[in-house]
Amino acid sequence: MNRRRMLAGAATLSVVGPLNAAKPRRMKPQVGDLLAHAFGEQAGSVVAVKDVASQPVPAFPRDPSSGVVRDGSLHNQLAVLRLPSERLTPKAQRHALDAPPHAFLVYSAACTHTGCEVSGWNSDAARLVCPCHGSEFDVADAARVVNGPAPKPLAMLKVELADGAFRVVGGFSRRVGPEPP
Amino acid sequence: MMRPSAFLLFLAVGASTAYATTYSAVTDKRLENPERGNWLMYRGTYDSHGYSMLDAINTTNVARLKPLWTFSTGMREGHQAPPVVNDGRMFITTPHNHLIALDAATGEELWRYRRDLPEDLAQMHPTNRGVGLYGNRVYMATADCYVVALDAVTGAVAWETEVEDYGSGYYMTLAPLTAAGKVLVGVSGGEFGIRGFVAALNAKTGELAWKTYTIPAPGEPGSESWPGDTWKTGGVPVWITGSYDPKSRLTYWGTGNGGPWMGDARSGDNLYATSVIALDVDSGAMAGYHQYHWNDSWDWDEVSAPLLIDFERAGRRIAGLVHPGRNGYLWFLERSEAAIRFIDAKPYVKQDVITSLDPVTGRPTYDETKKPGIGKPATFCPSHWGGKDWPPAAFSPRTRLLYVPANDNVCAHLEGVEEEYREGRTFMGAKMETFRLVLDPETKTIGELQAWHVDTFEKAWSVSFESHNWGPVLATAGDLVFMGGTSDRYFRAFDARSGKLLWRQRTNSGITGVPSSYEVDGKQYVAVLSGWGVDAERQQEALRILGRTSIRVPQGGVLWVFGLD
Repeated sequence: MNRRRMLAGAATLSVVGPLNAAKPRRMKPQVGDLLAHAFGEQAGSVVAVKDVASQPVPAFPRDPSSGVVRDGSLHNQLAVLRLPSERLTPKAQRHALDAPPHAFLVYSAACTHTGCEVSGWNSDAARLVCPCHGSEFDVADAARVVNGPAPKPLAMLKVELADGAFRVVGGFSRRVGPEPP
Repeated sequence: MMRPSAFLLFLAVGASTAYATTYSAVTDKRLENPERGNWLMYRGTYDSHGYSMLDAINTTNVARLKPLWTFSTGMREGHQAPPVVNDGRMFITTPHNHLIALDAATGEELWRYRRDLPEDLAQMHPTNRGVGLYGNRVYMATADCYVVALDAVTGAVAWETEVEDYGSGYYMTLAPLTAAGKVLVGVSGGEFGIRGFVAALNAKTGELAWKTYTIPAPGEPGSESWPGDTWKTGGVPVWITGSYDPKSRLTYWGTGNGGPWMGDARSGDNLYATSVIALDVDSGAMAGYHQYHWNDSWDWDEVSAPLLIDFERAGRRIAGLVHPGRNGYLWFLERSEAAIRFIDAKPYVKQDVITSLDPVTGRPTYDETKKPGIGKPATFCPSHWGGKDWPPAAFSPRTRLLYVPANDNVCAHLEGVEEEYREGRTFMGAKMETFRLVLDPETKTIGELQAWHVDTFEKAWSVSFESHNWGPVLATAGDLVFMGGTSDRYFRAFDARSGKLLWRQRTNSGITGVPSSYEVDGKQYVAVLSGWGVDAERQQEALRILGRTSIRVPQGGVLWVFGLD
């Protein structure tokens, strides 16, 4: 897809409506969105609480009424994780969904260093790992940077339970992706 | 409306800047034989020697070399571009694709172009390696995979052409090669499941003239070296500027490794990965190739373009290609209009993967226990950053020495994993969670500057550094070799004949910029960008985890310009 052409189209449409109205796939997560599987055979289907166990589950927000999956930007990609409640630091607890004995955490998958997809997982240390430059984020501590060049933690997205699925209740806790140059 | 005072200031500035209104058009003739006072392209000349004919700064006076002015780019990350200079006008680029024109004598900023990059563009290698010049225009390849042509005097955009879709993992970091009315570029994205290529655009209009893939499609010669559909996502990027031989009209490009990283994910030789390829400048047709190593499994991109050097072997003068490989071998090849032929090669750093080379073809045999695969960890030397990564080597025709910025005694531990292709996402198939560098505890030094005699194939001298080395090299007719590259932030000058350190200057950050030298009004300058980032920083972090260093090199780009009082 040619983004420049797409932006040109969006700019024309913006005369009659908000910029994002033209591109729901690129819209940031909206309050009320459900989380949907990002990849694989289940791509686009809602992530159920029971789908989340020892591995991070890649997800995108999905508009509950239109069913549009907001997969048009890496900045919308999420990693849904489950940890024992007692492992979370107070900082992580603020943005987590606590359902003892588990807690569910939803992180932005866009690295704060250069914007790569944070797709790696170190299960022993419970760290998300960026394959591009090796930044490691401690998921029990609100994605504190443990190793690597990333300057900031990953953003968190707060969710609630809704019929066995995850529903977005607010915006990201901090900037998604790298700081502008 | 411009206020009168500002208008007067503008006039005054204009009057004091000798180069504000005139520009020397860059012709094929000038590019083929540049004036000694200019640095018109990435390595100064088409043969990629990285050699300046200027000698006012030399071994007798370099101790007096001083910074004359600096310029802060305001950008973070890896500054790798050479200051390119045409008759007093300098062009530098930065990460995130800013292009800045400066008065090369005074440091005054003439104009600045800021690329409006997409917000969600993931940059695995946030850098840019400089401009190409042709006619009255300056060309930059961008991280969102466009080529932009700008007016060299005003900075106005003349055209911009999308070369490929960044959303599919394509991006560009190299300095364009300009020749024969064309702007030649290659694409990055080897870690994102691309299919690599070199493309030529019409320098006037930006229209595509030709495009040659580095991976053959089914039915094309070499396609049998890729199983199934692996050719579609097999990587083989081209991210360093090619060399060019105007006599044969052949351009020579180094190619990256196949993707994903593990060889057993794409069994076969994987032509034309980890090779040098000869492409006709007019048609893009491939006139020859030499694959340095087959079925790469070590991330050893061989993207550095070979230096075009005529060398002697057994009394014979050979029109050659010389390449210090990322695989740790120094390669000597013969070039002709019909083919590229292996002459000889030997390791220049610790290498424990290649057990022998075929004496006729140069094809290596591997120790399979040193070859990582899917679910098969292995430790191998040199590391995936190689004996020499992208920083270019230089050659001095005066000393007949090739100057190689090397890293020795560094090995890596790597394991492959199955990975499903997803468009535009990392497709490395390597378990980065368990990756680590492996160093012999007895090894005190890592970085090196090695000098090899191209006719005798013997090492003349070598200097070692405690730090790893990511310093591009400049050689000059003053019998000096300039290089930064170490984490202690020094820029250094060595005696080209002995390797003796003659001068050094500590800078703001680490230097991974390509140094250049030029002359304005009879005065010689040496210029380099200091600005640490990308893989130099990544390797620093890997060494820090091992306890080999505690330094965190500060970021931020600054151009340094040196001269004698």
